[in-house]
Amino acid sequence: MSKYKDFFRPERIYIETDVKNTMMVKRILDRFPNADVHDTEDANLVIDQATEQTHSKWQNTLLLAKQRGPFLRLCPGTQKHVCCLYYNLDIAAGCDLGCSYCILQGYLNNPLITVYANHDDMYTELDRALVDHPTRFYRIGTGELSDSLTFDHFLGIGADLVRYFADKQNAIIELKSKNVHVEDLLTVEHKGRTVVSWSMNAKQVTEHDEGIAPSIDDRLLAAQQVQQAGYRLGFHFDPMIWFDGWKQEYKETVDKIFKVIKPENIAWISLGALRYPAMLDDVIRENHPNSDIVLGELLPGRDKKLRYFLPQRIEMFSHMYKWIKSYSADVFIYLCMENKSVWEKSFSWAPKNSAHLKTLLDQQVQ
Amino acid sequence: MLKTKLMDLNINGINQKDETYNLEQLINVKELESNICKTGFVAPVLVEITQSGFRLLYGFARVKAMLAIGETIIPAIVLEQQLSFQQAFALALQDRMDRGPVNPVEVSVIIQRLESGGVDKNEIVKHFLPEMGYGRNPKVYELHKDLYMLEESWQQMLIDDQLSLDMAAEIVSVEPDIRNAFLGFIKELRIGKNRQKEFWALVQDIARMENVAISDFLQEAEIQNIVTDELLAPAQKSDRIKQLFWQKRYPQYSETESRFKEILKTVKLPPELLIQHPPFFDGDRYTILLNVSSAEEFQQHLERLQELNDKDIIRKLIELV
Repeated sequence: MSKYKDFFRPERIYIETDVKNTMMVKRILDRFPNADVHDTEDANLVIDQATEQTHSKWQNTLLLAKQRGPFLRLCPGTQKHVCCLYYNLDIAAGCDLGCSYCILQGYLNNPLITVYANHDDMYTELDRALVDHPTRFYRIGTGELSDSLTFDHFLGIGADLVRYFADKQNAIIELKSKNVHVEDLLTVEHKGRTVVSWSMNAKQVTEHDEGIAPSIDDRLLAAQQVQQAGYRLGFHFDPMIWFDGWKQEYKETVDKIFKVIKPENIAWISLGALRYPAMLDDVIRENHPNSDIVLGELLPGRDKKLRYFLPQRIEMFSHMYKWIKSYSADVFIYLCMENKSVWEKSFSWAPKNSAHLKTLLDQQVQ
Repeated sequence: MLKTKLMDLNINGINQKDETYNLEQLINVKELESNICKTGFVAPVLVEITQSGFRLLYGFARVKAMLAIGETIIPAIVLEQQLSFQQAFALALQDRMDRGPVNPVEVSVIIQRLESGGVDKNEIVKHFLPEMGYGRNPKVYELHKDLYMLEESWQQMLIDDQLSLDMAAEIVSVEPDIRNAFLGFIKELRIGKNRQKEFWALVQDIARMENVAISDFLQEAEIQNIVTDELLAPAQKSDRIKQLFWQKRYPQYSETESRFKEILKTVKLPPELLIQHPPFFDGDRYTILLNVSSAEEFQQHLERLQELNDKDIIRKLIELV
């Protein structure tokens, strides 16, 4: 695992004036004393520059900025589909892993890694949400605009969040990652309020389309450590990719998981097939010319995203369901951004609606 | 105000090999010769003085026409002051714009000439694109900059508006043999700009999926049999090629679509009764459209639909996916 420990080392750090005196900035500057540090009155000026200029000039650049919008947002989900009503906590934007299918390529048009450093505001906002709605159960994740753990070797936000959520009665935090920076988590008291999750895939996809992300074996080594520390675990097969030999390779990954992870320690496993807005197709082709994922039978879906032809999705999901359930009937498996009909055809059951799915997921961790 | 004088110059004194400012490649010199013979020489050329003689700023086509007619003397405006490259180029461009809008290939040549003279992208976008009637939009620069490298036949299609600018900008970056194979293919099919683009995307993907060169793929028998079928009209050829490409690019979807059509074919529905599958079969709700002009007709349609259900057709359709 040590080879991944220091993946991202910022050479240049831009600090927005508003967050200059925060603990997070101090922590990062202590970690990288030799970085070329610049102050900026407005983070948008740096973002504009990075957007206009050659991407390579801005690689390995970290922007420490103030989150001016809300940190906590309800996942937008997809219209007409069953959604899990998850909350995203936007603590960073950008990722260093370089997966070909990454949706961030369409959202973020600059190579900066932005960390929102005004954590006092974040905790105030979280306190307010959790206290104001004591009967609402929140499943919150940090893996929407970034990977939850890929920068944790210098940010240490993961452990901060574990500590914060440890005594919360109506919320859990999910740290969703492809990376293996779990050392800081192992000694923190979590009281079962944190789920550590890994995005999993077939070996071929991991090797060809997941950039510099650690291998499945390395992810599982990290998962084992976290399991030993008493955490509940999650696994997300999303996006599943259709390729010659997908059945064998996805089954191998399922087998590997259950070889080292006890089913009772798994909070949930999600499945989702490759899908993306049509405009991302050109971006993927340009950024990843050797990736074959764009050659799948991807057709416009009801939500206008390109999706695999429906019978292919159902075939993938139903096989995965069968393979996972063969290890444990109790593991909770859910689909991301699919409608009830696909659930029924793939799993032979379906939640009544999004609220029902939320309840079922909440029950896994309450 | 520029300092100039009007002179009759010996054409041999003009360095005709220096094409630094030549924006006139597309002018029809034969037509110009004929005009000069009819009406005489009315517009002097513009030259500047260099160490190796006179350098043309504009009037390249007129010089060629005069030489072809056999004239050795040409009226010229001679600049009596030194201009920077950009100033001189602006004069050449102004002369060109006085003759009407520039076509995309000319824009490309102008960009290429400017860059050869050391003018950078920002300057071109900021100063020269507006001179050519475009906004200060870097995308315009990107779309045009390499078009001068296209083969003449591609350029002509672009000028004649038979090829989209996007398509031309994209295809200029591929190998000439692939480009020319595709050009031959679309010329043969006589397809419009949208379909050219659609076919180009499909051809690229299928060639990658089948691991063959695009030029070889386009020569495959099943494609050539359609392209060269003299009994088919161009629109029919285009439709059949599209169907073939979709079968290759989206095999499972195409197969399902064929089965859907086969099922409906067995029941021979009247045109007033239409059954539609969900778009791209992404869903399980079918749409039935009735077109009626009387209660009797409505009743007939209902009976027909009931018959479809009795014959298990509805279930078969639903179970397609």
